[in-house]
Amino acid sequence: MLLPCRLLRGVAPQRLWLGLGSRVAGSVNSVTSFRTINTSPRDASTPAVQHAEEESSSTEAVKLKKPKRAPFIKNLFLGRFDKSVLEFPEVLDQDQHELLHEMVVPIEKYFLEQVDGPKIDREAKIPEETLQGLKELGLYGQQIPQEYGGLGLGATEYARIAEITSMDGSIAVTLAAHQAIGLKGILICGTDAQKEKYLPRLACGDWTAAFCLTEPSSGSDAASIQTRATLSDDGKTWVLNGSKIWISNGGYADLMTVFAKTAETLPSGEKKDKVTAFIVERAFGGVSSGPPEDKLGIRGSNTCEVYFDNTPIPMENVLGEVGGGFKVAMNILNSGRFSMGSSGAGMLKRLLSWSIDHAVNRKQFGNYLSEFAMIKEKFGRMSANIYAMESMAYLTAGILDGQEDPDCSVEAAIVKVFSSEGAWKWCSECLQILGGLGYMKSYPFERYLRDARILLIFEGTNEILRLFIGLSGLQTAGGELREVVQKLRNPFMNPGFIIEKGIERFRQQKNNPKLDLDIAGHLHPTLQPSAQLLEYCVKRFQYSVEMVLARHGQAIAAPKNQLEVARLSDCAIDLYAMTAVLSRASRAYCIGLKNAVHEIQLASVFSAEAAERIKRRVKELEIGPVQNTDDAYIKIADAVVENKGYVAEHPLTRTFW
Amino acid sequence: MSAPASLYRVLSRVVISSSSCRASLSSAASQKHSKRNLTSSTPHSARKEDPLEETSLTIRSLFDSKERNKGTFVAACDIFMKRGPHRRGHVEFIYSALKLMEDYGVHKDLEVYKRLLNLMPKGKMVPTNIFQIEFMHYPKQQQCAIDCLEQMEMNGVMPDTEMEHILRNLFGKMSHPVRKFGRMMYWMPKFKNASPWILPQVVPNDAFELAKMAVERMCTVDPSSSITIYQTSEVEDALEDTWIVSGQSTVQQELLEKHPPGESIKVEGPFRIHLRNKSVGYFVLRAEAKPKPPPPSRAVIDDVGSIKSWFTGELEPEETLLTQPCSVHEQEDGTILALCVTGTSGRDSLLSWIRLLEKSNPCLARIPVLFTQASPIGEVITVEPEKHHDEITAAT
Repeated sequence: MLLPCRLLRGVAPQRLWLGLGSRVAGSVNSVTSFRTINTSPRDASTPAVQHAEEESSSTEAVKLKKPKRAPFIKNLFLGRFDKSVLEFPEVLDQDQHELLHEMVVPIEKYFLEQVDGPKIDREAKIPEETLQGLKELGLYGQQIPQEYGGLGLGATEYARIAEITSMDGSIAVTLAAHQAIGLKGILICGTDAQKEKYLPRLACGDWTAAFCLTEPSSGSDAASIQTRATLSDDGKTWVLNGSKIWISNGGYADLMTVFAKTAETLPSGEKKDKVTAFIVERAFGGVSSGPPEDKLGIRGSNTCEVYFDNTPIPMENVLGEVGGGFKVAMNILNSGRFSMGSSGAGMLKRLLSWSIDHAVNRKQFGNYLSEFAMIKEKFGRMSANIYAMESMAYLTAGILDGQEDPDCSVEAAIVKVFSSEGAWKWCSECLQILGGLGYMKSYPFERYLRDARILLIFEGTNEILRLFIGLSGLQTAGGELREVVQKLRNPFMNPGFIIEKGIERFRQQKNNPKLDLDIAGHLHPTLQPSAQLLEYCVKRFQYSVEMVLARHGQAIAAPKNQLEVARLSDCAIDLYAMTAVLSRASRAYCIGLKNAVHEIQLASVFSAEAAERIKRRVKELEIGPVQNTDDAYIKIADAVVENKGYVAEHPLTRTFW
Repeated sequence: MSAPASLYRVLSRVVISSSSCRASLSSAASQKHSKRNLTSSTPHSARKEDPLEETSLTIRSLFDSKERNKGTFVAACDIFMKRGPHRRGHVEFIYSALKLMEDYGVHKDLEVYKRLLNLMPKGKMVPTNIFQIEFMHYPKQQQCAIDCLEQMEMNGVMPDTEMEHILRNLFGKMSHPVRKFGRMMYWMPKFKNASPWILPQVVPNDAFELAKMAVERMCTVDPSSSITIYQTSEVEDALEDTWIVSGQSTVQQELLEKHPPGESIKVEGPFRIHLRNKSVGYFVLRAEAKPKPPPPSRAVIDDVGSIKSWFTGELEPEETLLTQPCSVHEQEDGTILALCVTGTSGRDSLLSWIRLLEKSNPCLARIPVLFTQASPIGEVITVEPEKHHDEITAAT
């Protein structure tokens, strides 16, 4: 355990990271003391770290018993609030914590000194030597376990590193495409042989990975892909045919996780197409890629089409089960999203300090910009937003690291939606503070703004993720509320139940739910008003879930009811943000962090506004689509679609003279 | 100087008023008849009888021209205008002109209506007190102007502000024709734009243009529709050389793709679509209606225990029922797969159409296509394109 620390002090940082990054699996046994770098509690149970007892067996034993908890947001749809979330997670022990912070320094230094963001943006290419530097820092194998030569970081540490790598959008996306989705499949459901074979090369950056799901005809709808894999005549290889578009790292990736349709024979003898995931090496042959796409932002990242022409894939390269590819894809995507919160927050924190720099130096009408209330408000709101982003990202990472077999798919989606929208909005506001200067290429704001735009689109567009959040929650709630909803939807068959329910709902209908969750009891008393608000919102949210389910039944999944689902997921997003913010602020105040009072302020103001938003949305759900303007907008949209464009006449049009 | 002038004015006034009085008396008998004729007859039926025969007092000679068009009509009005300052008999002149307007093809021409109303003398008939206003000062003239407006309304001609000025100068701002004008200006602009399918005021006579309009209108049912224009000469051994306006949407192409190859589909028609006063015959490619999957039962909708969506995995076809309704093309009486208008409406042109559709729908090669004999609007006859240029549908 002490060795790496000693190493860190003794050796030049770059040398050390080179060593870490390029280590291969075979060398692990000889360098046992490196395991402390593997700070992820998840890996504590893997065989390669059995030698843990040499060092600190007591802490290890504690870690092995990770609690198993029900998914937080999904349960929130049922009105169940898991108060353990109110203890902001502290998953890193002292060594991990110190190591992480020592690791951060050289990476930050590298990004500040060696990475030329404007040049990458201008030339739409990340220079080879920059990439080499990233590989030497070990950034290509952040979450790959140490036994395979990676850094073996847990979610929390990964999120912290993402804060820094977000200094350049192109690099962040290149790294994310490589490890957050590209090779994640092997980590999640690869066989030991696959891990042995590929992970070491990927960890050191010899190989780059890519994730090939999107096709011209299938974007969000992953089940509708057209690429096909057929079993060869001898039954030993799969033959892959088709094309994929917008593949990050597609131009030079040596290994790709490719999804394709395979025919499956059902027990009934019927043939059916199912999605299967494959690990495809470029060297298998028949893989070609188109020219890099010219994009709005993240211009340095390589995005192109990839074609597969009779690419042979050996049987052992099937990822997961044959026909189980859809699940693999969902798992990969769900696990890759949470880090967007910290990277967005990292980016915004830098932009905030730059725009403050401008505001305190620029004088207009005899006042500095920083004295104008409208500018101040922007700074204030932005801070509260960054605070929420950070809190959510690290809360989610903490759950991922600290729980046994965690299900954080909904939480990760929430983090992605909230932080991508925040990043876009506040990037734009920072640019606004600089006015015309911000619009110029000589300042970095426009580049960050362009880069931030992709956040709302990739890894599942925010619209799709809103449906995912809402419907996942409703699915969980529906399982339990089945009987209740059935009775609510057939009131004349169950008059007794309806009367009972009416009495039960009496307080809800008066907008005065009974607050019996005792959330305030789990937070610092300073936050009591905010805790009450959170509790109120949880209760109202539960009520609205039940109401929506009773209104639509299973048809809630129909496209026409998306607005209601989206409202519920917006509520869920705000609830999660409130929870994260309060739990973090309470912890900060209790342990006496620097500026803890400021954090309390941020948390209170954020929860107050979030509660207002939830209140409004529940009200809108309550009054229904006729009164909340949903129907009106649907009608307008129908007319516009029918007219294939804007319908209203030009204001200068006259019917007569 | 002033005395003779004022005397002249008084005299002329007497003359004018007496002449108009006489005119109103003499035509009083005919007015009832002519008015009924104007309001109750459609423009078509009015053509059969010669309106000039029916009135006792008509100004025939001016409308006797052999060539009947806007030019001669306007010339007739101009001649009447130049007959002198008194314009005796202008009411009779306007009535007979109104009746003949359709013959001259000017019944939808606002300018001509204005010209007719301008024939009335200005200023003279403006009431000067409320009794005159309310008791229809110069009733015959006012009624004539109202009838003129009425005819405009029947023909869908919307007046404009200049018309208002003419009427105000004639009868004053509170007169009955101006009130009628007000009512027309309230309703007519609304009706003018009531139809979602805008057609030109006068639809073209060209069959091809009409066909394009008709197909375009019918294709608005599906925003993904596209309209293709084919020439039968593109098809080998086509007997007829004509054009085909074909409309098909991507949804329809998908439906055709899914159609089982063994089952035949039919080309049916011609059906009739009207574009203002013209009609066009069109044909549809129709597959037999498939039994619609039963709508999800109440029990299924009520059961929220198994909400399915894209992220829960690849959905089975029956699981998408709740989320994917039938397309607009799948109707109770069949699935409409494409529609067309051909230049001849002949069977050979329809055969060519199917051949041409095959280019964008390769699956058509595997599906037997039947051409139905019976047409809902009568026998199908191939018409010579040059003979019946404007009437492209088969006769009933």
